[in-house]
Amino acid sequence: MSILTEFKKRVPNFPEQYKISLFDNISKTGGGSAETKSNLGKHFENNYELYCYSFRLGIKAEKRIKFSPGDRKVNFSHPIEFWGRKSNSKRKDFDWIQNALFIYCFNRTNLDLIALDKGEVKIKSQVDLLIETLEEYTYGGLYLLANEIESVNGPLPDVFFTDLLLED
Amino acid sequence: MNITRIEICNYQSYYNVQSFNVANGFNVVLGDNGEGKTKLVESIKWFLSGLSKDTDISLLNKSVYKDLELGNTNSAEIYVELEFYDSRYAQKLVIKKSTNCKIVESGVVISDAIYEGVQSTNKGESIFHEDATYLLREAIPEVIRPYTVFQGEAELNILDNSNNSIESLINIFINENQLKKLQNNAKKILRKAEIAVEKTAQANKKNARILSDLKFKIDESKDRINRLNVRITQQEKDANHSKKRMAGLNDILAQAEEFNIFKDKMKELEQKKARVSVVIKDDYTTYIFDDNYLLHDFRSELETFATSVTKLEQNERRLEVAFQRRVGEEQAVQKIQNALIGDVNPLPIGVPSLNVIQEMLHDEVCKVCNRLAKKGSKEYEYMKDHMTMILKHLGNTDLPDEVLFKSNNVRELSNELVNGYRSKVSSLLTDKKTEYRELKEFTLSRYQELSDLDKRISGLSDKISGITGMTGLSSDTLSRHLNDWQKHSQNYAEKLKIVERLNSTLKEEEAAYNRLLTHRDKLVSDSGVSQYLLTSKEVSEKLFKVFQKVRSNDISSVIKRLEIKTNEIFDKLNVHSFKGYLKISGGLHIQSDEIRVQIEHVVNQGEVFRGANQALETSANIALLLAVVEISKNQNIGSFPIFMDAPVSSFGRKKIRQFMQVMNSVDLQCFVIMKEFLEPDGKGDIKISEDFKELNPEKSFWLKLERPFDQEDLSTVKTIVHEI
Repeated sequence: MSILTEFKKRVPNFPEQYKISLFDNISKTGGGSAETKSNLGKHFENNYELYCYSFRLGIKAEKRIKFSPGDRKVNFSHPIEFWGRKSNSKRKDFDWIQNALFIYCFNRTNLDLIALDKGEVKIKSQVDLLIETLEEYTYGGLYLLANEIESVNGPLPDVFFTDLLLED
Repeated sequence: MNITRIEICNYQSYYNVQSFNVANGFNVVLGDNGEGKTKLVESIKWFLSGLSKDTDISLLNKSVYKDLELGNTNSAEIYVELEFYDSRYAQKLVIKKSTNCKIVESGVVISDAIYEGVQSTNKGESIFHEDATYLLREAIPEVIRPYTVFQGEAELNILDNSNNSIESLINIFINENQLKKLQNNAKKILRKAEIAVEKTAQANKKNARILSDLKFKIDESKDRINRLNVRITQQEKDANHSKKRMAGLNDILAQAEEFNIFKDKMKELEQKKARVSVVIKDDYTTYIFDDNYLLHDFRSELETFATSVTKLEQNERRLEVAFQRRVGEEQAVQKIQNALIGDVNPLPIGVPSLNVIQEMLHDEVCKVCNRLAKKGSKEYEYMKDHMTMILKHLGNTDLPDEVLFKSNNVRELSNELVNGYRSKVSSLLTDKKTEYRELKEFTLSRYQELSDLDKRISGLSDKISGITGMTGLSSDTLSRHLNDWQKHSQNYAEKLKIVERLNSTLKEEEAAYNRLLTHRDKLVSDSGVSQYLLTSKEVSEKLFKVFQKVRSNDISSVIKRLEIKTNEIFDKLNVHSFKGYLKISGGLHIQSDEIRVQIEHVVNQGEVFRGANQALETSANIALLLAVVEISKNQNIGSFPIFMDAPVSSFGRKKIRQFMQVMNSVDLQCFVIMKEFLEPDGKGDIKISEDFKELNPEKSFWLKLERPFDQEDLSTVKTIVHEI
């Protein structure tokens, strides 16, 4: 079992405080028909889309927030290995997201792969570190996103999420 | 016949009995909006409409209806009664059309209408008619009913003559049926004379066969001529129909063409808009994933990763090399030691060295006693024990592991995400920020384009609305009119060509027919037919043609009189105004034996006038109508009344006065129902204007609602007739 495979089998967490304010409100999972959801201003089709987006926002802003002992973690029971596979004629597959997340996390995690290959450390400990990176940057991104949304009056503009991600 | 009295009872706003003792000439009925003018005209229309089933309960006055519902009364009658005086026969006709309403379990019901009447003479004789439909036909013949009641200017479109009612009227005017009967009799006599001549001629056996053949050919030729005439008549009718329709559409043709140009342009713009809308991509959040915007800096990320993994790989390789070197060195030392042990190490005499024992174990042979020592045998075990003992004696014999790395994570990452990975994910490595900005710019400019298109579409839409507003027609109707015009124009041209071709064939056929007749007449004359018979035939032929000519002349004369009279009145209605000329032409069509009339509004000695405004058109229609009534009075029909409701809405003050003067001057019974000449009295009510008195109609009435009434309760609305 390689570290990459093991990483993809994980289900990352996010702080419970953003479950309703962000995930339930702007992601389309649940909440009625597609039309109803669209009318409710839900911008992301899936929870993991919002998760990935927040992670990248955290990376962009170099905002990494460590979980405090009091922080409650939740997840949406969807392992990374299934992220980005749409099987939807209106959308494209983007399962490249799985490797990309690994690479972003790898670059920001102090791993000891040599010790791992030597068998001196367990694979779980290294994957735990990667997931920790993923969750902490996502936390940072969610924090920034919540603040940005709060500063908008009325419905979010079409370019809200893209501008936040791509414009300086 | 002229009307002397009108009585209306319980008909819509007319509560109980309301009477008009009317004049023989010009009657004016004034009334403000909603005070009963239209109901008066509708009641007359109902009176003239004949018997029909399913009379509508809504005809019943609402107050009476309420009384029935409340049980204040058991039944009520709706009726319109007209009293006529026929000066030709000095008789009075009272005709009443009525229906009964009563309350039953299911509510108020209404019976079918009936006509009853009383016919009385000056001598005091009276006859009651239980069914007075015949009396009604006598008072106002059906053929003139289309010229009796007109509601608004739109109904005054008798110039159109699309139902050929002018032709029907002319039929009545000239007593056409009687003349036609005479003509047919002449035809019968002619036929008899022809048969008599033929019979005598066939008595000559020499000519009998030739005459019989000729007769057959003449009959055939005649049939062909008749068939051609029928076809020509039909084609001409079709052509005229199309011509009339085209003339009717000419006024709006220019607008319809312009409208269609705008509509096509609009369609083009709508299509362009649809094309622009299709290329617009504004589902931005989706593109974060679908267009890989999420990885806008992935190239540098991947480089960092690749560098790290490569470095790790190098480190692992270096460690592996160092490790292998150490293992090699240790193995070499061991090898030497073993060699030394195997070959040099002193062992008891007769005991083979370690190398020899290893060789013997491998070969399963004891080389000391030269015997086989198979694996598992006592000899083999003996040798093995000896080797263990020697090794024990020699001390540590562990060799170092040959593998440093127990898993290959670094190599796997390198294989999967570094080597060749870049080319696999090349689409993720493009400049996403530039792509995004270009998309935004593109979308923005497309939205701008859409907005410009919307502005142009809105401009066109305004122009189209302007045209539809000007013509008063909906866009669909305009479009349909243009299509109709094009269809009729094409049809007209085609029919004219066909008529031309058929006429040419007819001419040839008639020439052939005449040749056959000449040939036959010569043979007959050579056959010894008596001069008496030949003369009889000739005379009856002339007689037939004379009757035909009389009919034709009569018809032409009536049409000419109609034209003259119409234009006289038309002149009076348009004093000092441009008006053109109403050309009424036509006559007896010999081939089809039908009357044909064509009415055209022309200018410049024959050019069809297409620019008449509503007022001029209305005055033309009124002129023709009055001319019809005047001529009919002097023909077989006698005079009849006409009712015109709001006939001059498009007229200005001056033209209304001219109209009123004309109506006063013509010798016919007329009812003009209008709201003109009523004006505010300054005290919140209305009064009749001063200039109305100057017009001096023979009789005038004012329809007013009984005051007070509840504006929201129809049962309180009651029209009262006031004679002025």
